[in-house]
Amino acid sequence: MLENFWNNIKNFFNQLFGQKKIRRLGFYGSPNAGKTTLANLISVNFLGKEIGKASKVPHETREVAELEHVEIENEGKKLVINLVDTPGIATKIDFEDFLKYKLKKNEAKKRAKEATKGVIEAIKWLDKMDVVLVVIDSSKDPYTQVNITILGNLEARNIPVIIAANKVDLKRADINKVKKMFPQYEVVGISAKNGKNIEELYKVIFEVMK
Amino acid sequence: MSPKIKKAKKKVDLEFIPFESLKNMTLQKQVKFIIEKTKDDKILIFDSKLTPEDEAKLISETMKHINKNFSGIEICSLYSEKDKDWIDKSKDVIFKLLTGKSRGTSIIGPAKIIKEIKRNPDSISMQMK
Repeated sequence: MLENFWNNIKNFFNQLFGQKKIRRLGFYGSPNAGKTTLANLISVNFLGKEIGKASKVPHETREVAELEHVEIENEGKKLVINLVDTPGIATKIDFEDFLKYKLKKNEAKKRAKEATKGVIEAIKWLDKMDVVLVVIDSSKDPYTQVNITILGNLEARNIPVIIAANKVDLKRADINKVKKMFPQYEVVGISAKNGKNIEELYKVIFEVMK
Repeated sequence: MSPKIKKAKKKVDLEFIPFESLKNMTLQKQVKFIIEKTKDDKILIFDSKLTPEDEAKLISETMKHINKNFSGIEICSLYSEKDKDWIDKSKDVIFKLLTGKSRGTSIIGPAKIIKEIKRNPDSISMQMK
C-alpha cells in the first residue's frame, strides 16, 4: 500500500516536471498459465533478478508484484517499463484443490483465502495498466470465461493487448487454436520455460509500447 | 441383513430469469442477487450477455463470499454476432435500450455443483459434478 502511494507520488512529480511516465506492462491470465515464469524470464534477461516465485501449485502469486525501471532491448532499441505480475484470475477457489499438492489443511485454507484477495487485487489493477500481456496456456482450451472476461475488460478500457500463447514446448500445445479463438489480437506462441520465441515477443512488445 | 441405503440424488435447481426483471437494480444489487442465488445452489440462466465489467464485478464479489461451503461460481456468457439479419440486429438494439445489456445467454451456477461449463463460440455445454 505504502509502495503504491510512493509510486503515485513519483508519477505525479514526473508528470509535473515533464518526465515521461514509465508505462506498466501487466501480466494477466488464469492460474498456472505461466505469468510469473514469463515475467521472471523477462526480468532476469534485463535486470538479472526474478519478480516472483513460480510453482506448479495454483495461486502461487497471491499479491500484485511490480518491478520498476526494467530496461528492455530489442534490435538496438531500448524501452524502460515497469513489469507488473498479477495473481491468476479465477471464478472459484476451493482449498481442497490445494490438498492434492500435498499442502496441509491449514496451509491450503490460508492459501485459498489469500488467493481470493489476490483475484480482487488483480482485477483492481486492470485500470493501472498501459499494455497487458494476456498469458494463455496453449496446451489447454483457450476459450475460457476467465480469458474472455480479461480480454473484454481490457478492450472496454482501451488497453492494448498482446496474447502470449505459452507452453508451446508441450506436445498438446495448439497455438492455432488460440489464434482462431482470438483473431482480433496479436498472438505470439512462446515457451516461458525454455525461452522459445521470446525475441518475437519482445519485438511485439516494442511495436505496441513504442 | 443390513438395509440397503439409497444415495439421494442431487436435485438441480435451474432458474430462468429475464434480465429485464433486474433492470431496476443497481449493479451491486444484481451481483448480490446472483451470488445469493448461487449460494443457495441455484443455476441461473439469463437471456442476456453480461458486460465484461459486470463479469469482473461478479468475480470480485464472489471472491469475498468464498468459504468452506461456497467455493465460487462457474459462469458462461455467450453472444453470437454471426449471420444476423437486420431484424435480429434491431432486436439487439431494442433489448439493449430496455435492459442495458446485450442479447445472448448467461449461465451462472455454484462451482460445487457445476464441474465445468464448456463453450464454443456459438454453444454452451455444462458438465455437472
